[in-house]
Amino acid sequence: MGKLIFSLDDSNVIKTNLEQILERAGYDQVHAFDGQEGTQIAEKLIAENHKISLVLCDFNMPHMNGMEFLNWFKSKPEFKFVPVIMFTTESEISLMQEAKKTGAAGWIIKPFEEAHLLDMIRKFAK
Amino acid sequence: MISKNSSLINSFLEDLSGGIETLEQNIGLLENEKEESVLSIFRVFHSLKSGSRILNYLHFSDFLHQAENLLSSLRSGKIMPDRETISLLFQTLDLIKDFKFLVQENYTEEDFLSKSSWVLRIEELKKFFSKLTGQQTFDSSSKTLISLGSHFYRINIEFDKDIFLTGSDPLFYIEELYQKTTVLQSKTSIKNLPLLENLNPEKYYLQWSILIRSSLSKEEILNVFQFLDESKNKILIEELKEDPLENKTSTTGSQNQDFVRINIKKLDEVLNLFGEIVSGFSQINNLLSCNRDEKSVTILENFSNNLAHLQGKMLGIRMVSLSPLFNQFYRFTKETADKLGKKAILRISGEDTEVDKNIADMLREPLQHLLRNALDHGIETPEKRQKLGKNPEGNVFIDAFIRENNIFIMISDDGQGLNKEKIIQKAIEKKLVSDVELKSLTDDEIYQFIFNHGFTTKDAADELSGRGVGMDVVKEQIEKMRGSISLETSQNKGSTFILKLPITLSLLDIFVFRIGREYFGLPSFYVHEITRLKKPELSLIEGILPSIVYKEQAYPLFFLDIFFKSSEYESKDLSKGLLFLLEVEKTKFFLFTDQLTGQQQAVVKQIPQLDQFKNGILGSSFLPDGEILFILDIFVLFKQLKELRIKNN
Repeated sequence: MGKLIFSLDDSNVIKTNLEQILERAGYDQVHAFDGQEGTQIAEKLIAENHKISLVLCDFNMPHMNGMEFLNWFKSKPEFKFVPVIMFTTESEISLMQEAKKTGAAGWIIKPFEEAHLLDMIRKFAK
Repeated sequence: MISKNSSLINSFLEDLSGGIETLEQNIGLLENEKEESVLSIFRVFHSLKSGSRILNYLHFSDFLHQAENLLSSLRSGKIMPDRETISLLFQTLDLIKDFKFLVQENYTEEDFLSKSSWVLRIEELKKFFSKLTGQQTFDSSSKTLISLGSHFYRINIEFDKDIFLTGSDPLFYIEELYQKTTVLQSKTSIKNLPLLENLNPEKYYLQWSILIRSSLSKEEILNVFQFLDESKNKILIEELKEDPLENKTSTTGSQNQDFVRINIKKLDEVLNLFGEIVSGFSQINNLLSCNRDEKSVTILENFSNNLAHLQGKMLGIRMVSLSPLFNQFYRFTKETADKLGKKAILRISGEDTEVDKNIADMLREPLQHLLRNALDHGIETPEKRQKLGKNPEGNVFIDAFIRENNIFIMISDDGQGLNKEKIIQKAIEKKLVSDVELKSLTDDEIYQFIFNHGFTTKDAADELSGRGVGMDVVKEQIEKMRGSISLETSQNKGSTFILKLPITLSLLDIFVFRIGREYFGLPSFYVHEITRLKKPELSLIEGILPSIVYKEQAYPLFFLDIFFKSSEYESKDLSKGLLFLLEVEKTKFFLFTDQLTGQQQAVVKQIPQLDQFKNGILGSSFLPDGEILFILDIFVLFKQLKELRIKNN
């Protein structure tokens, strides 16, 4: 079984882009368009006994933003060791300080290069 | 072999001096008078390359070959003589200067490759050369180029105890440092590590202190740690003015005066003589024993203390750090992995551990063999690793540490582990075990089969591993050093081979026993039990060697006079003498002696003149009263005993 990458981003372009990259690299993947959907999917994944290897999460999303999702995710004991990588833009760097304190493992600045993204995934995915 | 032809060396030294002069003149002129300078530099590299090849400095010749390639690229205009290239050439010049000094001092290539800073420098420069020459255009602003750099930093890191909760791993950051900079030294501190019962496996307790050399600025290095929360992770980067290790590994003359190179043979002679002095002292001590006053007692005691002190110091001289040996394996690992089409990184720790020079020398072969095995049989191909969800680049580890007068060396890999089924299959094929016996064997016992003669699970012999040298040879080499080897393995997680060795071969803990009027020493390493049996139960199952039943087990019994015909027992009545239960290669057997007379630490003196004892006597030593005693080489005796048993069965 491949590693399962769980991504959250409200942009369709990003979603498609990620889908292609992750598929080529042989990862299993699940996507959510906002934080709220993210919490539902994450809970479903636990219920079905799936193991999340890595979370990629955008900051700016409707309903529940990336920071809120990160807070929720890290408060769940079953996810406490799952690394979360935040998608961010140059202007959101200050948010990263907060994300780090909440337990994010790292960040990737958008727009990202495929090689860099895969590097980060390879490094952090469990 | 290095040619001892001194006129050849002298002319090579002249070439070196001339070459260095030419380089010094021309490198600086490259920018302005390109054509001519390039040619001059090229010629220097070229002639030194051939010279070093003739004198067998093969690595250096290889290095110059690559430098030559760089000049070819400059000549064809493929790359430009910009600042980076010129600085690279100056670094090459420095290396050649140091190299000249080494040739002058009659160092062999092995000697200079054993200096870690040398290997690093050569490898770094070579990396550059191939990067420069491999690229069509050279972009000097390219950040992917790692430069050896001239900044030195000490980085102290105290990771957040809860770092694992971020899904991160401290090693990511250490690895990134290794990728981006040249790590000169890294140390971990276990100061914060709690006792096992208080240890929380979800927490991280280690602290790191890392010395690096890099062209990066302090800020750029700090960037490596940007994902870490500063309020929880303490990262301190301190820029150092000079190479902090330079004094230790210096290759320039003026700083080298603190060290003297001594031929190890001379040291052995000194140690032997020392043995004589100890014995002489014992005799004097004995002579005076009946007639001593308070004053002579004090003098003798002082003398004896000083002798003991001196002995410790002398053994200390023979101790060398394992790091030159270990550092050679970086290159070996890389080359072997390349040949096998695999990717692997060697990670070394505990290289500061000191062992007897003899042991360090004897370790090279078995360690190399174990490493080769780890790469060949352990580490999977990058494709296979990726499929298994592993990093395509495998890890091979060497670690060394000392526990209670023993040195432990562990060689491990994160590869596929030993294949139990294949081992069983091969063991049956080789008739080492029957189907029935197999059922009662534990996994550990099954893995032990790999130490049998000619055992290999590889179907075909190949260049690297199939050279007829198997694990049995490794085991034998280790046991020759009075050491042992064991292994742990786990499917898809890797294997670990653990070597346990004495720190020195010169000093032995022995039991002294007597047979007739002769005294013998028995390395306590092999002694499992010492016992006296009132009513020994004898059985004669195994050929001519009788067995004694002891604690419901039958053990073969032997008398020393099988090997040493001149030894005469006072009595061969088993109930009168003393029995040593010895253990070699997990086999136990009894040795019968007249009497145990003591236990002591002995300096072993080699006795080459006693040929009839060869293969059975390790050396000689002295009893406190000056009487000579022979120390048995139990390992060799055991082998002979085994042959005897086979012959008689």
